[in-house]
Amino acid sequence: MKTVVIVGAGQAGSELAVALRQNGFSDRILLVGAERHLPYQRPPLSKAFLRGKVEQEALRTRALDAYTNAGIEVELDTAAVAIDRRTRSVALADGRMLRYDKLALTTGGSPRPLRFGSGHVAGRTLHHLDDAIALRQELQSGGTLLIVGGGFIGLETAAAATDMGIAVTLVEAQPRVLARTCPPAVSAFVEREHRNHGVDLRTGVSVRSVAQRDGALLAELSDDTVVRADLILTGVGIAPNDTLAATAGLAVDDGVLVDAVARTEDPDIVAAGDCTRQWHGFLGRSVRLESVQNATDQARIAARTLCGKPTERFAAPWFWSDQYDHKIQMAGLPQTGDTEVVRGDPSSNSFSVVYLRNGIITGLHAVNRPRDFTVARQLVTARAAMTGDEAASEDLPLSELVKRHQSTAERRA
Amino acid sequence: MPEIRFIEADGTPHRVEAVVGQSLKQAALDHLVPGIIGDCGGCASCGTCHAYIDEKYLPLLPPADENEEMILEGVPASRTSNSRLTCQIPVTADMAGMEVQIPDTQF
Repeated sequence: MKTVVIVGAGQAGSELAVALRQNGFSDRILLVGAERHLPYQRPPLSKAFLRGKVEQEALRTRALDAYTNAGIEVELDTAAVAIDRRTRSVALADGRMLRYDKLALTTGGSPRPLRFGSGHVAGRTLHHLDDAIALRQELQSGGTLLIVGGGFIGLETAAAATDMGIAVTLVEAQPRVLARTCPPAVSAFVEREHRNHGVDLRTGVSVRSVAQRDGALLAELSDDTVVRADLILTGVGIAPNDTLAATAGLAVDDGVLVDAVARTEDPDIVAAGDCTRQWHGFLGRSVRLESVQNATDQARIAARTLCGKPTERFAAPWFWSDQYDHKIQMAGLPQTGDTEVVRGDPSSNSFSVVYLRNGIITGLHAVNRPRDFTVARQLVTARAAMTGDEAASEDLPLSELVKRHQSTAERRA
Repeated sequence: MPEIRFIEADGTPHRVEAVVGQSLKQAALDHLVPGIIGDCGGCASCGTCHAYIDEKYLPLLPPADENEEMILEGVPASRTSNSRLTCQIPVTADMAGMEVQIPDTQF
């Protein structure tokens, strides 16, 4: 009887456990999680869950019965503290030792801490279900919210809080929001929408210090203005939880290093999800991807590797965000230097930005254009040829380009 | 708990005792049916829970909204008149015996 221990019961851990069964592994599977909750979906935490549109049970990736029926043992509220690769065992915080034949690390990430000024006051973060439960409760009682960081978490929270009637100020140190992930046209759209919904959005400013006075927080900004808020939330990205791996002597470089089929340098250990930095065959470079799509995809790959059938998948990564009634969807991972071509009117509520490099589509960001997004996912994965004029032409549906690419590929074959 | 049959692209059947009110996608996930992915958690953003619904049960389902239609247009497997996103379909008691055919690819 062999034992696979999975450390980390998030979306990657849940998917990995199930995929082991789907790939025919019939021995012992132990899924160990530090949080007290069954594996749940994180994306709704800053969206529908915060607004009270869905309840906790609906966030579960699978019902408890699903694990029980599949013979997957789930240990919640149980942190792993060390890995001993020589004896192949994991030490738990409660003193127990778990022996493994194969180990999977799906430890996720943690919000990067941000301290203001002398460090007396740290902002709240939103990453775990318990963070969201607490934040939701506080927002329901009203007040004002200062959000530091114009990334997806900050912006989604701003949208949810505004919908709940909270006065929101959002500050972003970069000249525009989503500067790291989106083209200027998408940033401009997002900034406009937040302002239209009453968010006091300020770019190019940071928080210098925060003081507490009369039960409220006073944030002094780099432009010498002061913002008064009942609550401060920081959303400045996550750091991979790779300390457990590093302490066990595994190679780590801002993420547990894994190859294209989720293997670490230890033949008995795989890793998947936010905690990894992977060699991505499709992108042809080493990347850290923070997304549900990557977490579950890489988890399925890791499970196949553990079952002795490593299979690399060459596909474009993708991401999405919901803010107010708007859907922002991103296919591919464009790089600096790729040409941006706008498709549609960026001052409207529906347009896309296509990325091209050497006549090949490398990515697409869609604002309220799910049709462009799903088709682009195929085009980017197929490395389809496209001119700038074709990318910009609204008369040419992208699906036509899929057909053209397929017939070209067939002729070549 | 209506019994719904999910059939993989290679013909492997999965009998699922679905819970009334949950989505068809969640029923598949809770019973470890391979090939229904549902990465976006059921908000019709990703199109990875696409499946073909038994023709005779189609009239029982709520019609696809505009967003679902647009996502379906871009799914990688062939899109047919009975293509749906399973995250948008709540399970009802009269679905007993329904067959759901899973496409060969979701990406």
